[in-house]
Amino acid sequence: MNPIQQHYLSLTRRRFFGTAAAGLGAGLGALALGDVLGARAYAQGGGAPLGPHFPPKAKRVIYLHMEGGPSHLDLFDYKPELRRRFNQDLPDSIRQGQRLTTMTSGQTRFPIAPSVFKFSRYANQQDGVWLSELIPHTASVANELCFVHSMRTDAINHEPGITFFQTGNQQPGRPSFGSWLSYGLGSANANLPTFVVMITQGQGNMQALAARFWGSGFLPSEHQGCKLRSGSEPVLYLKDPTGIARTDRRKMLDLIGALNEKEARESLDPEIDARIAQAEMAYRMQMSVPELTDFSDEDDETLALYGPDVRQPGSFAANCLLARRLAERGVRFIQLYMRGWDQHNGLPNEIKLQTQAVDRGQAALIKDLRRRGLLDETLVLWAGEFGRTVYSQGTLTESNYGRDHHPRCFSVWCAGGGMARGVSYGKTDDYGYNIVENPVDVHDLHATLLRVLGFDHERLTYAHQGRDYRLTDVAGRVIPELIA
Amino acid sequence: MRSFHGLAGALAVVAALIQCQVATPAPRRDGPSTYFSVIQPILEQRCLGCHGAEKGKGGLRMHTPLALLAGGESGAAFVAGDAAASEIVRRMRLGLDDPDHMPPDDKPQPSAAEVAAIEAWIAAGASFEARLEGLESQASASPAATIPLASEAQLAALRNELVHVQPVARGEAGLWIDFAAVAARTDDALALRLLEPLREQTVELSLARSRIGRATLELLATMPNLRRLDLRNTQLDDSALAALGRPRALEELIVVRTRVGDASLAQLEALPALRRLYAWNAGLSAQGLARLRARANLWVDAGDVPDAAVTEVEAPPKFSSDAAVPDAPPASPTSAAVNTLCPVSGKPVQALCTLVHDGRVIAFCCEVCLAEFKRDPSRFVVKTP
Repeated sequence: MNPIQQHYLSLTRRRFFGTAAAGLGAGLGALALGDVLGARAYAQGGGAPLGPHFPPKAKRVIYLHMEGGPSHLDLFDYKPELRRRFNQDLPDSIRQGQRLTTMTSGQTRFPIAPSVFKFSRYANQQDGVWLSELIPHTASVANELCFVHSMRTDAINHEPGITFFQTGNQQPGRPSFGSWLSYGLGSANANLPTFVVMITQGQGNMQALAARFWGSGFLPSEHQGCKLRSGSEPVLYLKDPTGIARTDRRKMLDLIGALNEKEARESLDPEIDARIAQAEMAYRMQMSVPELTDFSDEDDETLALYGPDVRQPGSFAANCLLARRLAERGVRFIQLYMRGWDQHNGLPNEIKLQTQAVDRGQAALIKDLRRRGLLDETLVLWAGEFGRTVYSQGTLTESNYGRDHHPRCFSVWCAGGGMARGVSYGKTDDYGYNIVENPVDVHDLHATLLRVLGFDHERLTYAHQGRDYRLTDVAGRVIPELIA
Repeated sequence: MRSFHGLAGALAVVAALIQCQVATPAPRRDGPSTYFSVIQPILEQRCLGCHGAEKGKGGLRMHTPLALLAGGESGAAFVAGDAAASEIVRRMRLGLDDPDHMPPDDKPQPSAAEVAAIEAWIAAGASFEARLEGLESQASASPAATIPLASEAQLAALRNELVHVQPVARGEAGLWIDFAAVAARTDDALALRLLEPLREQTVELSLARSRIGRATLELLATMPNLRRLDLRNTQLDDSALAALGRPRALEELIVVRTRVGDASLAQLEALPALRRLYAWNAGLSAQGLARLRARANLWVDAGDVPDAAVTEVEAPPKFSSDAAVPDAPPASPTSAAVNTLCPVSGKPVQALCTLVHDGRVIAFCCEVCLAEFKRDPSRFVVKTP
């Protein structure tokens, strides 16, 4: 749409929302144009989202990001043969000149550290999947999970690794996955942000999380993720100060809005529209957020499913329950960050604490979504930014070891939302070091997820600085085997 | 550009006709693969009730590309490139009175256009990735194609109340309507006012957590295209649900945490298109649920899906270092194509026109060559630079 036309349309729309009766005539005058012309499809543009290219299987995403790089070897990628290679040196034929981080590149030996954890095989829709004793609750929904054991990434450090997973590019500056979906799908609940982020503090070594991981890059800034704080006040300054009535707040926003509109008319700066939209969103969130975060309407059966941690605000279990509440309220992209998977030393102890913090909550989330009829249309993704090395960082003993970053292969899983149920895809070698079958790049994963959300990843684009950008940059291949 | 592609497409069709005497539809460069946009929706509607994730009659499941490729007790489900030799086509083409005819004669039958679409897709190589022109229009002879567009004013009325409304896909008239943002203040009056003008367009509707009652369900009863209805967390009971009647397109119904009980069993059983029912924490008894589960083509989730069974437990890990060190380095495949020239035509390849063969990603110059390669990979040599 012509930007000037869009500009005036957005003004009429705003009046339309603000004072429904008075604005009715003007709003409809512009909107009804499509009828006069005998349109064959609904109008696009003018602030309306693009909408999916074809019928979506998933309407929303819950992305559980495991910051730090969980060890695929101790959780999902079963390598019993390694038990007979304890303390052997990693063969050059396996390492193949792989670059290492400076944290282990100075080591004189790279001794193989088999996992100390026991694995069991759980029935799924194929011939079962071997999972570690660390995640019994998650294993109980194995028949829902779609495992990718052959994930790979280009980045070997956290910052570029997370940026790559979130934005499709290692360098900062591109819009994050959630922003792309916000831009493509739009909001399904005008009272809440389209893209919500929540963070849980982990048990071990934690890396910084920058707000740009959920930034909107060059997309209009109303598409950026809105972070809910853990604790009693999820959004700061949401309550009106003592003595300020809600009607006073309304009057104040109207006045500021009028000034902003005047400026927007003169400067045609789209960021002013975003500013107006955000002020209105905050006003509506004053009502919607307290209701959202109040668990008092949850029954005991549900709270018990998530476990005792659910009563502690900010815990992973509490954030999982909050994610379900956001999903049923129509929020499109809900991202939970779990910090603390960066287990360079003392991995066996640290990963126990870490999995205790996530296992029950994430399994409960899947069961709870499923029995409410929401799992079919909600895509759950569990992924870190990379895996961990098969060789020990630091001293290896029979009961203790550490693992360095490993980008060449690792495991992620999805559930629901039209992804294949109860399957495993891809294989790694006997060392869990290289992929031997069906490699999946980060762009491939993004392309496949966009596909179940109804988008052709090559056509979800945004023009910026002279070219069309996409989440998958110039790569990405949809992997049909991952789709139900 | 567009007309150039059209011309190239037409030439490709001619070339393919000469090569293999099969009406290969022309490849397209944009849009979803034909399998996902056309073929899978037909399978979902006509086949998956018995050959899907839940049931696999005759050993055949068709819900994923892998399952479809695996075939069933009668062997391969299809022969890529040869529709006539494909079991699923043979079965669909048999007379209705033939016991081998599929779908069974008491089940809804695919339209002629749908059968033709499946045949054309198989004939063109049965690719899960390729995009074939001409098939979209054939298969979209579904009821949804006949829904008239709602006016922008009607949509604006919903948005004005902060009710979410969006086409189910770009270019479609059917709508997904969700009252989530205003559930707490959604009563019969609001629902009726907003939904009455959109009777035909409403395809997916969520009234979860709302305060609607019988009057709204009476309106929903008259919606010919309503496919998914979410009534979760409402006060609705059997007498209210009775007002819903039997909407003919309703495939998915959610009555989680409602008071819908055994008195609704007969009605639920009689919903003609119902495939999925979610009834956790509703009033349905164990016997009632068992009765519903006995109905063909109906999946009932009452929050009682069993946990995944443990089928094998490892002995506590013991460590040694007696395994021999391997000397041959394993191949390390990447997801990038291994070739730069098309193995069929010798022309430069398209980065996005690829398939996986023998664990390697192989690129082609066009979808026609891709289909050609797939028919018999042994005829071609992939040169790696």
